[in-house]
Amino acid sequence: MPDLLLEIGAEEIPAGYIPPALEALAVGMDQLLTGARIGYDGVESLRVLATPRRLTLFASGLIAAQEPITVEVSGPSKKVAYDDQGKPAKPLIGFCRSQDVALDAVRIKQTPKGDYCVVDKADPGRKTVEVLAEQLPGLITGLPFPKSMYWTERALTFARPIRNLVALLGEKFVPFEIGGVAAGRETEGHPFLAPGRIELKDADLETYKKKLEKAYVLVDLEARRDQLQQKIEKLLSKHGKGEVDNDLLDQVTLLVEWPGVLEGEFDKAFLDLPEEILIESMRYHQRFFPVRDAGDKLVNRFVAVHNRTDKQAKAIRGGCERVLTARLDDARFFWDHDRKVPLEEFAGRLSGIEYLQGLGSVADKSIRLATLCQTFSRHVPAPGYKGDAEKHATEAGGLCKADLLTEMVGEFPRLQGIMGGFYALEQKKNPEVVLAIAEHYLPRNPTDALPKTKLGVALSLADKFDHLAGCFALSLKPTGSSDPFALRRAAMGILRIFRAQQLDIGLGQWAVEALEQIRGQVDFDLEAVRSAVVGFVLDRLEEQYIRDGGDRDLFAACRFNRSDNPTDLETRITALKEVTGKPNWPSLQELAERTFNIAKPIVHEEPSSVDESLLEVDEERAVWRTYRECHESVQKLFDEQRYAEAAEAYEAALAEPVHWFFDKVFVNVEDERVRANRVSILKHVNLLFTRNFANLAALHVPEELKPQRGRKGSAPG
Amino acid sequence: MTFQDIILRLQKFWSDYGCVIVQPYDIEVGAGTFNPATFLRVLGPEPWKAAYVEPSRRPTDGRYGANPNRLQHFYQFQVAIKPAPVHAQQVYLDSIAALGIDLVAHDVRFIEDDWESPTLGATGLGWEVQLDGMEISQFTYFQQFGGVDLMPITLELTYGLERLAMFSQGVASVFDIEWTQGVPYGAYHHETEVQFSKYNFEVADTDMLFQLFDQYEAESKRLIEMDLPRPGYDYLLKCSHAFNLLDAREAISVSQRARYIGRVRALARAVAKTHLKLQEATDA
Repeated sequence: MPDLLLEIGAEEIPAGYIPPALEALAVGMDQLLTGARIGYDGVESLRVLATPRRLTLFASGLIAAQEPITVEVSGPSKKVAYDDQGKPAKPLIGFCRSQDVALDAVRIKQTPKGDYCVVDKADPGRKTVEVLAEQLPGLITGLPFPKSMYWTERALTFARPIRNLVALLGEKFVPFEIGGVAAGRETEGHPFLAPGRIELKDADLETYKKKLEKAYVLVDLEARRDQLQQKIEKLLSKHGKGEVDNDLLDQVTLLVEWPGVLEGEFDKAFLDLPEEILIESMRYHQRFFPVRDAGDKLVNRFVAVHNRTDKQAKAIRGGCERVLTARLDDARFFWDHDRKVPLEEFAGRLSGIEYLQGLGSVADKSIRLATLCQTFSRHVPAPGYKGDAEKHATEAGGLCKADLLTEMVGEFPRLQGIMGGFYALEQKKNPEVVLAIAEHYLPRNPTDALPKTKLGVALSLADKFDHLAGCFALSLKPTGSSDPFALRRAAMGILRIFRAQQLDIGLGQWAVEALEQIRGQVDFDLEAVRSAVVGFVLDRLEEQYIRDGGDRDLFAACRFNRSDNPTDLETRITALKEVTGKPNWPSLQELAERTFNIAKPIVHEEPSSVDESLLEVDEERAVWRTYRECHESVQKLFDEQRYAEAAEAYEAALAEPVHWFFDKVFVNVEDERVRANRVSILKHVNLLFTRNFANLAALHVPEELKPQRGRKGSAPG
Repeated sequence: MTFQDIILRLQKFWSDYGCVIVQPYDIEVGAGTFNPATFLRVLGPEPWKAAYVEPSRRPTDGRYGANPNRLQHFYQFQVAIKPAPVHAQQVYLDSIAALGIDLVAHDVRFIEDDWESPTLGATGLGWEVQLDGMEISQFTYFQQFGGVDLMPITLELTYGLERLAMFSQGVASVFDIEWTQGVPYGAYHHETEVQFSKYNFEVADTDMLFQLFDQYEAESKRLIEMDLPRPGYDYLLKCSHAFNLLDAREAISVSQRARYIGRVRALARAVAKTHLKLQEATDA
């Protein structure tokens, strides 16, 4: 059974486009083969390989032709197919002729629309090579890329122009064409080290890899990555720990066909510049690996990846050094220039940058941040803090966006905030102000560091709440996957900071502070926007919880009480998880479910007070008495966030009396006052739990765990 | 290879390829793309091959002659070929080899760099070409111009002549490039960098430039409406340069900036539309 080798040769495909394209290629190939009834060794046998100039897919053990199948073809209805004598009429004769079958092959099939004539036709299946020739072009041109381009005709787009196609099924080539390029059996070597075409005899993967390796193309991504890693590690470890930056390694692996590595040097004098600038220039602009000594300090060296062999490395090194020097020269120019300008002057010019239409300039935003930072800082615990938060918060808020107008951030936008911190330091600002500015964009992504200082935390939260509040007030909410204002990132950042700082406060309060700042400028309903912001942030918490394998129902149960405190919400979820594993869980759940279902309590509504003179039956008196006896101590446990203990105490006290209550007391009696009174008792009982912890009514308890009780019995003494 | 030899070699190479060797345009532009030999020729179906040097002005990039790599006035070598040839990359590489650069010994890489000109309403996909890590060219398949989707597609090659010369001569400062034997680039251009940096950043009369921008814009609109897109385009270029000077003087706030760019883009769209309309009328 033949193997399939497909190579799409293109002009350099952007590195970031390659991994998703390979995945889509594998998924698409499996769908193509499965859909076309072409059996093969299955998804596990698929291999994808790539360099910037080729995307390759290998599948093994394809059958030579599609599996034959029998297809049922529907014809005319029985009513019109036969005449009065039961003989075949015109429509049926025509149908049989068109299907090329004899009249006696017809059978009658019952359908909801009546009886119909059908025939079973054998489809023997076409040759695999024919099916592939027909379907591979669609698979290839349908690959998704972040951006696709035209180069020859309107109907054809791809990441970059397709210039060569290899498609082999065993020893045969699969004939098709895309944009004037005919598929064949010839691949190409390294365009500089081994230019020219390489003929492939068959679809053998190992031969393909070997032939290309001889032509200076290491087509196996993993192998290329491993070789690069070893070579880079070797160079780095001469100076220090030798840890290789994996993200950068992934990037550069996708930029070369041959794994060349060299070490270069730059003028020691540049080491005076802040490390972040050096890293930005090396890592982000030139994709060079910075080199550190054993003490983790940068040294004046770098490691660069190239697409040649060691023989050429020496010549290439000079160019790399010159280009890095030019970058660092620029950086020094910006550094010297920016430091001379007081941050206050840059901040003043922020009035020229519009923040969001309707919300004024970035200067206006800075004024808001100064106020918010001051307010928020009061809620950030900082044991042993001795600074002047009020004063420094205002200064940090006012200056935190100033670096947007510096030359350095203009050139290296990723250094925003960081440069602000450096310039504040250079200009002898208070260390609290310096750190708050430097930290206020943190975290910039899900794995980024978090702000650590009191004012850094306050300012970062101020920035994010101001952004969320502003966007929601202007109705700029994200829709579907589109989130142009990066509101999800802001929300996730807030949650991470809340968790790290254990901020035990509701989100709504912070949102309102931020919204108060823009009242009058934008027309919005404070309560509606507050609740939208809180809901949006908590939705992110839920998303994250479920993505990490958490239980959706558990989350919903805890969110039911509408508390907007994410820290407390997480504590309750953890506690609930613990509670559901305890022996009394089924009884607790039953208690909560029964009281909830009959009393339908609303968490933010006080139940009407219970009229003791209306209590008629012992069982209801018992429930009410028990509730009054226990509710203070249970509430205290809840208030101390000892949720599991509270649940234990609640169940221990109330499960039994409530059980007897349901057994003996009929709630829906004629007398409306008695009925309302009974409902009210149950509401009190339920809300003590639901309001403080979670609504257990909708949680599932396996049948075998449910409490087994006789329907009849008598109340204890 | 001297600076002028590089130009001569490239001209010879592309002349042999069949290009029209156009001359630089006589209005200040920021890049060779703005020369009507590119902007107006990428529109419509007719094949076109052109190559030329374009002196390019980027007022904000001035460094008073103090930075070895940045200039407010430099030279691009521009090639535009429609339709883009199948062997585009190979032809380009041949042109680099024609400059005596050993492409096996050095590392030539095509690194993703999608091009966009907000003022021209234009986009393209392609790469910056790096030679041992230094950007020496932009290699772009144009996709859209003046808001118009293109087909056939034009290939644009833009060589940074100073970069190539620095590489070829192994010098670290642009001013040390040998223009021709005995004449350094700096002898010709250092003083212009000093004076123009002062002019661009400190001295340019912003009131006059704001007025000029408005006048140029009005004139461009008037001409386009009269079905004279070519002179209309000249005034678009003047607008664009006035804007660049105002930008260097920091006379335009960041929020106004987008609006000024939008005004130039509106002209570019109108020029492209009118130009195509006239072309179609001639073809019909």
